Parts: sequence; C-alpha cells; structure tokens
Amino acid sequence: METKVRGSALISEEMFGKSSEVSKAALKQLVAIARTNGVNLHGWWTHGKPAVDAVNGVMHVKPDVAGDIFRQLLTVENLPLKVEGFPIGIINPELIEIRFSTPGGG
Amino acid sequence: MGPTGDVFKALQIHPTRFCNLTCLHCYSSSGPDQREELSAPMLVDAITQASAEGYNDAAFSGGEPVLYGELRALLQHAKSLGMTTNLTSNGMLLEGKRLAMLEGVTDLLAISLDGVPESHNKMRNSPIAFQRMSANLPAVRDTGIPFGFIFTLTLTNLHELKWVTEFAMEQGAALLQIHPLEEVGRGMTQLVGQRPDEVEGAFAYLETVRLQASVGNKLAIRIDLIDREALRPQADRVYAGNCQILAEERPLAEMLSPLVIEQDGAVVPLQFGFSRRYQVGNLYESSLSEMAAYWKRNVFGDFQKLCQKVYTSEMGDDDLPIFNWYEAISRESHGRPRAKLPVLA
Repeated sequence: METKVRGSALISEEMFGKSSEVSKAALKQLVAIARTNGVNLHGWWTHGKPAVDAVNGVMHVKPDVAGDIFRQLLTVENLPLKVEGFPIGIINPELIEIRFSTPGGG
Repeated sequence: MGPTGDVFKALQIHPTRFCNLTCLHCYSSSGPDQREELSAPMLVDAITQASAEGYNDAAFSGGEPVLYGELRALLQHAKSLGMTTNLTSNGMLLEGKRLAMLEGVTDLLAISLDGVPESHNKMRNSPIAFQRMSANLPAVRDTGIPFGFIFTLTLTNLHELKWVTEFAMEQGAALLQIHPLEEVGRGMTQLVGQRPDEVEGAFAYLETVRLQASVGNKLAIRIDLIDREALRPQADRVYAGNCQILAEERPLAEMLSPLVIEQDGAVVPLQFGFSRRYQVGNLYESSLSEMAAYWKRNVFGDFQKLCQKVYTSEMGDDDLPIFNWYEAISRESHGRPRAKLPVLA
C-alpha cells in the first residue's frame, strides 16, 4: 500500500470539501446516535466467514430509521453539518442516499 | 449465546492452504506453494460429529476452497445433515466445473473484493485478480446461488467502501461484509501499519450505517466490529456470562461458535490462529466428539475466564465504543497486549 492517508480522512474531505478532523468525543456521540436508532447487535462473524444471517432476513440497521439517525447527527456538538438527500439512481430510485456537507457548502 | 447469534452455530473449515494467489493480507499465508490439506474422510467425520454437537452452518474457506478436490462431497454431506453451507472464494476460478460443483449444495457464496480494481489487485498481489473475478460474476449470478462480497478494511481504504457498495448492488449481491484487517499471517509482514485503529473502526462503523441506510434492504451490509455499549448488557454474546448448566451437559455449539478447523487438523475456538492453549483438539489425534468431551471438562473453564477477562478489559469507558472483539480475544489468547497504533494525521 502506497498511500498513508486515512480512508476516513478522504471521506471527510469528500463530504466536507476540505480536510476536517472529527474529535473522539464527536465520534462517540455519532455512534451513540446510531445506537439509539435501531443499530442492533445481531450475529457478527469473522475471518473469511460470511454472515449467513444477513441473507436470512436479519438486518443490521432498519432502513426506516435512517432519517432519524441523520437528523440527529445535526445536533452533534462541533460537527456543524447539514444533511441532503438525493436519489441514488442505480438500483431503486426511491432510495435516498444521505450525504453530509458543511452549511453553505455545495 | 455467542457471537454468531442464537440461530446459526458455525463450523468453519479450512480444508487446504493451496491457493492460486498470495494475497498480502492472507491470515493463513496460503499460496500456490502450500499443499497442506486435510483428508475428505477425516472432514466428513468431523462435520458429522459437529452436527451432533449442534453446529448447523458449515463454512469453507482456505486457501482457495474450490481447489480442494472433495469440496462438493463435503458440501453435500453437510447439506445431508441439514446444515447451511457457505464458502469464501477469491472468485477467480468460479467458472466451468468449479462453479458447477457448488450448485445445489451451496447456500451462500462470499467473494473477496478489497476495493476499486487497482486496490483489489494490489491486495491480491495479482494484476488480473479483479478482471478475472468480475468476469465470472455473470455465471455466478446464473447459478442462482446467493452471493456476497467480503471487503477487508485497512487504515487507508474506507473511502473505497462506497464504490464497493455500488458495485455489489450492480452485481446483484445479497451481502457486503466488512472485515477489519488484522496483522496476522502474511499481513504481519506485508501490511505493517495498515490495521485499522479504533478511530478508523468507529468511522467504518458509521459508514456502514450510512451505506446501509442508503441501500435499504437491497443489500445487507455487515461489519465485523461491535459497539461496546450494545455488548455491555449481553456478556453471554462473548461467553463472558455465568451459565448455570454444567458444561458436560451442553452441546459444544452452545459454548463455542465459530468452531474452526485449520489445515493442520487443529480445532480451535472462534478464529483461525487462536492460541493452541485453548484448542479443542486435533483431528489427527482424536475424533471431534472425543475432543469436545475433553474440552468441556478440562479447558472450557479457562476459556471462559479468558472471555471474561477480555470482556472486563474492553468495557472501559475511556475508549471509542467500536472494537474488534475477535482480534481482542485472539490476541489475549496468545498473551499479547492490546494493540494501540499511532494515529496518522
């Protein structure tokens, strides 16, 4: 591997339009929001072992709570984001992909 | 209950280290020069006895499992016992007879995909790995076997997960599983410093949630990491609770899942490379039934103490909430301290 830049830093740059550091405290808060919105503990698996329960109808996060998760992300301290939704357009146009951007940004 | 939940009890089998690739991250250091493999009769017996101990899911990995000559016979046997079957492949050889032998006996096929084509080829140590794998996907789809992709998360590739998700959707995959790189096997020397740390793990967890929300129920996206707070009230999910039933009276699958058979015959808890101190036994020395009985009487107590120690250690409040329990307990089984990596800028 040649690059030494964190994958998360590249995501952050893509989302925010600039390199943006997210504090550990904010990360904790983000995970807590996901937790309170239906991201539950099901089976989890390991090394080269596919999660067979995933193709038997057990979902990791309920799609219908996605809106709540991302609305609550707005309240995270020191993470001034706005949320946009737009159709992903590949498989199912009704599905909404949610992305972040900084206020006033594109 | 254990980490794989209360429905599926997993028997993971590595029948061979023979592989057409020498992937940089391979935890079993498999490759074209590695010919170590277990005999089919030995594995048939082990699968039968594992089924009797409550295992209902047989997972084949490797090496490249489709290079194992008796793979179909083993899959058929597991199916005959009522087990679900699945296997993990690099996908490059899933054509012709090798693909046909999976039909009718495979419930889920997992194909490795480690990022955009360039990244995938680097990780696979082959300039044609992506091209060959992706060329086989139409035929895989035509078999009707549900299939998914497994993505190895490193410190530097999380941004490629969105592309991988879109690719999986386009290909009609049922599952995208994200597994964090661990510095074991060939990864210890080939990918030094590439293991995702706790910050990257937390981001990956959130990215998984975000991507899952974006694709809805068209694709199940899983990550092999766990939220401490979700785990805190469920110590039994990591065998750290106190079960009142005598160990000897319980089926092994209730006490240990996944159960892993390595290519040297070792039967170990949870994941490839787990310390032999806690092994269930070795198929070259005794049957799985015999070793299971011995393990329940003589080793389970130590294993449970190990689980409780890791659980207690990982429930601290000063860390980010997302961690890799499999890595943590495997590391502790070898007596190695928790890994703290320097944080990149």
